[in-house]
Amino acid sequence: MLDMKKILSLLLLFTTISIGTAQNSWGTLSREDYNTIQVINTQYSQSMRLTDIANQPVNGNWSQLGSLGVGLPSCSKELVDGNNCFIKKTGLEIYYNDGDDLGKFNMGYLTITNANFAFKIKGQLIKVGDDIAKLATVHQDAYRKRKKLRSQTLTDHQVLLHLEGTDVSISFRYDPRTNRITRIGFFQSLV
Amino acid sequence: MKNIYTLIITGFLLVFLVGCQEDRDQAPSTSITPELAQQSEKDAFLEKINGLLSSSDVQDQIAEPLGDVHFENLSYFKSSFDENVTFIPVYTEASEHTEAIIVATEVSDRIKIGILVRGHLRRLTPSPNAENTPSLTMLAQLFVVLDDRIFDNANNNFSDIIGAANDNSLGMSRSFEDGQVESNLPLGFEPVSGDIMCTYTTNPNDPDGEDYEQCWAQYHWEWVPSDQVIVDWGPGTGGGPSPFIQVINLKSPCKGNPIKDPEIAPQAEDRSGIAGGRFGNARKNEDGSDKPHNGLDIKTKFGDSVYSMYAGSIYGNGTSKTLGHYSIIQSNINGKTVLILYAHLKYKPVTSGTIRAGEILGISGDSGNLARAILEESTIQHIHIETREGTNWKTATRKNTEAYATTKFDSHGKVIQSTKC
Repeated sequence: MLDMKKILSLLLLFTTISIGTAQNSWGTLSREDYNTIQVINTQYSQSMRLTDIANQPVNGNWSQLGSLGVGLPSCSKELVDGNNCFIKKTGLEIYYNDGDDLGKFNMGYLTITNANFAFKIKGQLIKVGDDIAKLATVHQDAYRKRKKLRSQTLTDHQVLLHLEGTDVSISFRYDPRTNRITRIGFFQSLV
Repeated sequence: MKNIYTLIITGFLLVFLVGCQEDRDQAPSTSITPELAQQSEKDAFLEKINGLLSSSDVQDQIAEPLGDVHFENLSYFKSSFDENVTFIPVYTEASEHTEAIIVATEVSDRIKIGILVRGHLRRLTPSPNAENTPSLTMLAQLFVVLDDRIFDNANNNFSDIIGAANDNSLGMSRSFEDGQVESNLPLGFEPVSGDIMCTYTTNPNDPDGEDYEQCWAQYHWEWVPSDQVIVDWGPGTGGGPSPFIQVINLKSPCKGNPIKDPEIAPQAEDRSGIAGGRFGNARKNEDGSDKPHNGLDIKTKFGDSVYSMYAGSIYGNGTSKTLGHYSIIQSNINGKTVLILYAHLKYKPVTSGTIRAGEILGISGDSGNLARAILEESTIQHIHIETREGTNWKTATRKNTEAYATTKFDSHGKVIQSTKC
């Protein structure tokens, strides 16, 4: 019985400490800083603001994406998803969805996986292959909170930003052995 | 806040120290040896299993109708993953062999039960790259050992136990397509994609002959953590195992709930939080505008069974970019035709026809955009359930799933205890 009391006390103690030290593992990205983010096509020196990319098409017209040098998306319809549109280039994938087929698209994700494309945030160019420490100058708090992905299989770590007042995430994954960025992404859950 | 934690921690430390002091004041007690601790763990585990087998569900649905059914808890061991495991042969006096073996495993205080059915082992589809997994031969050997022990019957041959290839007599199909497994459950195991390995060797006795091929399959059994017992019951026509499968859900949810004791899965706390897991406009788009959430996100553990809330027919199954593997059930509820979609399932369901309320329709997974949403800490593991009234999914009217759920939630998203179910 006494052993049980000791065990219980220790369990409660550990639980309390765990709760007391729990904290978010992301930094909050201000709207102001978010609006500075540009996606750069490094091969052709073209660029476009991330928020503009996220708000395509304009009046049903995708042509603004031409300024990123990626062409028009290819689209297909699905029973429960509605209209899905993709832009797939080497090193870049963008996904838009219009669940109701009413012409109101949301960008589900934008993922950069090589140095053909890059983010420019607060004037700092960040691309795949860069040292993750570059993020320290962009968002000190998020960089300080960098941690391993919550995954049984993926070994990468990430610096994670949540855009204030929205459900948007910006993530910078990196290999903890080399500290090199492996993937840059925008994501918002559409369901 | 810091002071509060200091106070709490100090309090627990005091209790702990008092416990230690009382220990010292006491006469020396018998120490718990590792052997005693293991015996105690074994006893507790077997007690739970025996309790499960003697539960009214099992007794009502299996033992009493069939009269002479026996469940014998004959074995216990620790698996290589440090799980408590027992094999429970299921047989009748008349059968003269073990009809099935219930395999009960305890993982993190959860009892998972699966069943090996005589004559149908081959249906437990092979799989991949997994270590420490039993082969079909090893599983068949279990039947041989238990038959010998219970019936003194060593007249077994493996092909009778393993069953025929492409055996569909149980009315279920499992197949491998592009590395993905399709399954409509119920054998209690979920296979993970399969792998057949082969080596090619020149026959040393016939150097001029053709190379011969030696192949073997690797098996990985993944438990359906559904607290279910599924029994294939004989004797069927022709004396073989019956094609009839009886499913007993020992912890199935109440009608109207997709899992037992459902709770809402929240979005991240700096976002829409628990409101974002509910039907409505709590979520915000990239531009700050309202983003409708048409479903109800119910917290699950990866691999949990998902149950149909109502009886109905399968309206459709599929895989979508955002919802992942999903199933839509069409039901008639209070005179209305209602379509309920269950999404982010682990596998694409292949079930067709009808489904009962409380019947398993799939396994909770992270398909669609959920895997990434979890990695980017937008949300936690859940199933997304969406409800529409009408007969056509595209044109049916969106409804709040909570209106159709038995368990109700208050304005803060907390379970209303009186509706807990």
